[in-house]
Amino acid sequence: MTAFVIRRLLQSVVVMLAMSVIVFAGVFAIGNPVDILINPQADQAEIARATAAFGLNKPLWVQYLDFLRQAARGDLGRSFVFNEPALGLILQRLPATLELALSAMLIAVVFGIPLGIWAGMRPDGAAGQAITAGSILGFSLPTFWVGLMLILVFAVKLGWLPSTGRGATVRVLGIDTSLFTWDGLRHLVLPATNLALFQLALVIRLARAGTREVLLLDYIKFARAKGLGTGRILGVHVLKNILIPIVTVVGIEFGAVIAFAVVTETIFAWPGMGKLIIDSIGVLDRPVIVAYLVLTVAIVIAINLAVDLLYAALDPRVRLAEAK
Amino acid sequence: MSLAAAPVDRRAETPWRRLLAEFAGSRLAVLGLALFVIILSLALLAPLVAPQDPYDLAKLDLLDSRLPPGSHAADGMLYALGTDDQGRDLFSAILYGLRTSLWVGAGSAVVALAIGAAVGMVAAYAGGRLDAFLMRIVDIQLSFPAILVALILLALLGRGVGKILLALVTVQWAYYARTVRGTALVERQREYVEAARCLALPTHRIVFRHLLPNCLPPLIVVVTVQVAHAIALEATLSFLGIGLPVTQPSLGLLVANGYQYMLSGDYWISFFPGFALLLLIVSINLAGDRLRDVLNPRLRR
Amino acid sequence: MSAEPTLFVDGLEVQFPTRAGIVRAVDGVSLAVRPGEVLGLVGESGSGKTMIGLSVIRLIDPPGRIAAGHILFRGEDLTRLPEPRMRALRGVRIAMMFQDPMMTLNPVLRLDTQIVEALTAHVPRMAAAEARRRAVAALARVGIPSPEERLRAYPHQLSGGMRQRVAIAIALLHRPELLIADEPTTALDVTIQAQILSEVQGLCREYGTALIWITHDLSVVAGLADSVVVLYAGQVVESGPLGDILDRAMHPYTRGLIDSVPSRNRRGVPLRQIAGMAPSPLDLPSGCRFRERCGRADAACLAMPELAEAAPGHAVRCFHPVRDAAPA
Repeated sequence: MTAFVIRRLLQSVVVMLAMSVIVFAGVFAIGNPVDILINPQADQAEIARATAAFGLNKPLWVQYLDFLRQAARGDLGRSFVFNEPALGLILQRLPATLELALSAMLIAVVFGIPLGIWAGMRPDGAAGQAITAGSILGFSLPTFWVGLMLILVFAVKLGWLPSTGRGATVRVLGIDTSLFTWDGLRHLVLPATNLALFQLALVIRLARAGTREVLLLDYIKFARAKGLGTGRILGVHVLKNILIPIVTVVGIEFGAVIAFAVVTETIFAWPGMGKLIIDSIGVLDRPVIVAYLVLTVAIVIAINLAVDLLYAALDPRVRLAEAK
Repeated sequence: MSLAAAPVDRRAETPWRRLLAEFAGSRLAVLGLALFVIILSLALLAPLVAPQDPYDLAKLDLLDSRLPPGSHAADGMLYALGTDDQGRDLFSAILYGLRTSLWVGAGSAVVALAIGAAVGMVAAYAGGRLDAFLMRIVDIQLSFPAILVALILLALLGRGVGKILLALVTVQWAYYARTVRGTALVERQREYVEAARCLALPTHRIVFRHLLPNCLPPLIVVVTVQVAHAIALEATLSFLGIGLPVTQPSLGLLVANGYQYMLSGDYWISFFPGFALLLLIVSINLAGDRLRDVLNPRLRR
Repeated sequence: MSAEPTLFVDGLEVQFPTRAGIVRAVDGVSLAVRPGEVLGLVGESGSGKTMIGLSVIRLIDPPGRIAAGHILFRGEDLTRLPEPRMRALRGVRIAMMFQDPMMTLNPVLRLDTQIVEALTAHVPRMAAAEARRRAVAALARVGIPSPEERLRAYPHQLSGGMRQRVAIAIALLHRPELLIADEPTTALDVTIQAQILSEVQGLCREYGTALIWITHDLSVVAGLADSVVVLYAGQVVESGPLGDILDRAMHPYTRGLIDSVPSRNRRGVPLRQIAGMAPSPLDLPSGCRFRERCGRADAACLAMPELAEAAPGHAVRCFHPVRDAAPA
């Protein structure tokens, strides 16, 4: 098992390095690096000074190593727009994005698994078919459009919920969160639901497919031959078997949700990382773009690593096979 | 006791007939397929069907901007779905937008399929370390969210049709590579390939008459999923402003244009393009979903 | 020996509607088994034997259904029982075990979980310690070494034979009156087969459990059963005491089965086999269903023969039963 963990860790490091090369190549090698690192509004003298100071006359590989060294120290440049360290800016916004992402995943799992199991148990019943059709709709709906429609219906026409922004926050364990205030929750509902829809559909489909397959297997028949009730069979025998692929997908999708929050945050003006990067792309604030990409890639790699390890822990067959 | 039951009359059931019959068993799937065909036809015939060429700036009348659905132009033309902020007939704009979505989606899928299939085949037949290496790259690529990959490429490379296509292809190729490799590996070892070899059939015959038909089912499923995904991704990127340029009619762009007018009640500018996009994606997914169920060997008893 | 039968199946019909027509998987089967007795239910795949077992314990998945007939368990008709009462019977008074031991046990649950739940499903207030104790005892009884440690294992950590023993232990936990074993040794090595066979036989004798052993292999049944029922294409074609069937089989199909057992063939002589294949349930021949493979068939066989008693306790469904003794 330890060998497996070490191998996976090494792989993650390698991927991170590869990504850093790509980002470096994209930012520093394509186009004139001067435009990227130095505020376009600077004058000639400043540019000359900055060129030397940034070491832009050094060979490319030296620049790359410098880049790595600075990145390791957490220095990914200063934002042109805000004139603050780019990484710091992004990290400030991270809690808001995480809050949104976690809420969305929670909605998806808590509602998705039971609905999916139900649909898998009775695929031909009216409810089962409705859930299945609903799930197809769920991942066909363009998230950005649904967001707009949610605002239109719940904020503009009905006036029940606020249309944009994040609600009041409280400080919990050193992090500002809006989960524990009523106002915070009111602002969270629409964007979290918007972000959750795709994942909800995904979880429903996974649970449904898994349930359908598992119910045909002999061990379910044997469980029924033992006289077990439907509740126990679904809740223990079926659930534990379908949970393994669901956990894997949900884990990986969490990274996707964090990335996809870009869309929801833009529509609902949610002050997270995603909104920041879209704005930054618009004004070509390169350091912030780099900081976002590097951080998000790191998060995704970390999540994937965690999921792989979790999968090994959950499926006894994998765990023991690796131990051999 | 009576004689045994009379033999049941059955037509010979070829695999294709059975596939079609099973597919048609779901009304939703048939509906999806029909819807897709309609949308495809409308999009292909857009220049003929659209009452207006929405990208001919000379034809646009700013005075007609933001008219609700059902209004008429000065010359009597009906704005069936209203107009946007530039006075563009939304119905025409949507038709052209669908066209763009389809060719971008299908085009990127084709290219990605070619690349992915090549990589997958090479991996499957080379085996050993090359296979392991290629598949490791595929796995890593797949572990990254599509939107993040697209963001990385577009943020660093800038806008433009070519760059969007590149992003879409990059996002998709890995799925094809993995699917093709998987089926190629399985099929290669199957007895019928051995049998065909024993019969000294020429290789191309083995590949085309025997291997390919068996590789198709999973591939068909992946293609439908990926095309729908690519269409949605392009629209999302265009909505965010980092996708297709303003000169290319994208449904995402149309929705983005209407965003600011929503709060004042001119909902149609965002609603109809998005709804058209929804119909397109849903139709592909409905049909594709049924295909997947029908082709899934594990659900057969 | 003349005790009331534990199970009496009367005219059972099981049907599946398919797009191509209605499949009659079981077409009018009757059988009986008494306490402590072993009934061998023999037939090839598709003969309907598994369906009979599933019908008794009422685990036929829709769209399949019991279309006609009665299943009397100690006088009670199981086909009319409401589901909650049927569930109370399963695992307690009627038990079933299946062919593939790997798929019989849930691969992601530990053995103790799967044994204990069979106990607590029927005795909800059982204390954990007590349940554990009984699980250990059950494993020991089927000859599993160090049962205490084995309990914490997962199914794939055991060999096929061990897993099947666990399945037996679970099936016999509550000392059922009827055990239906559906080809439990087919997936196992020959040497293990014999062990499992004697294991089950011994336990059933001890508890007085009636046993229905479903198999396609007549030789398995030879050392085990008291009576035999031979199934073909959903119908009983022959039934009777073991000795009668082995020494004086009358139906050509049964004769074919006996003859094709490898041990009965002499060296150097080509293996005897039954020509042809079992008919598809959607395409059954009119009249006797075996006639297209039978060397003795003639025009009379175009009508359906009835199952009739040809010797005391020995019934056969044939117009031209074989009357001479079978070669040794």
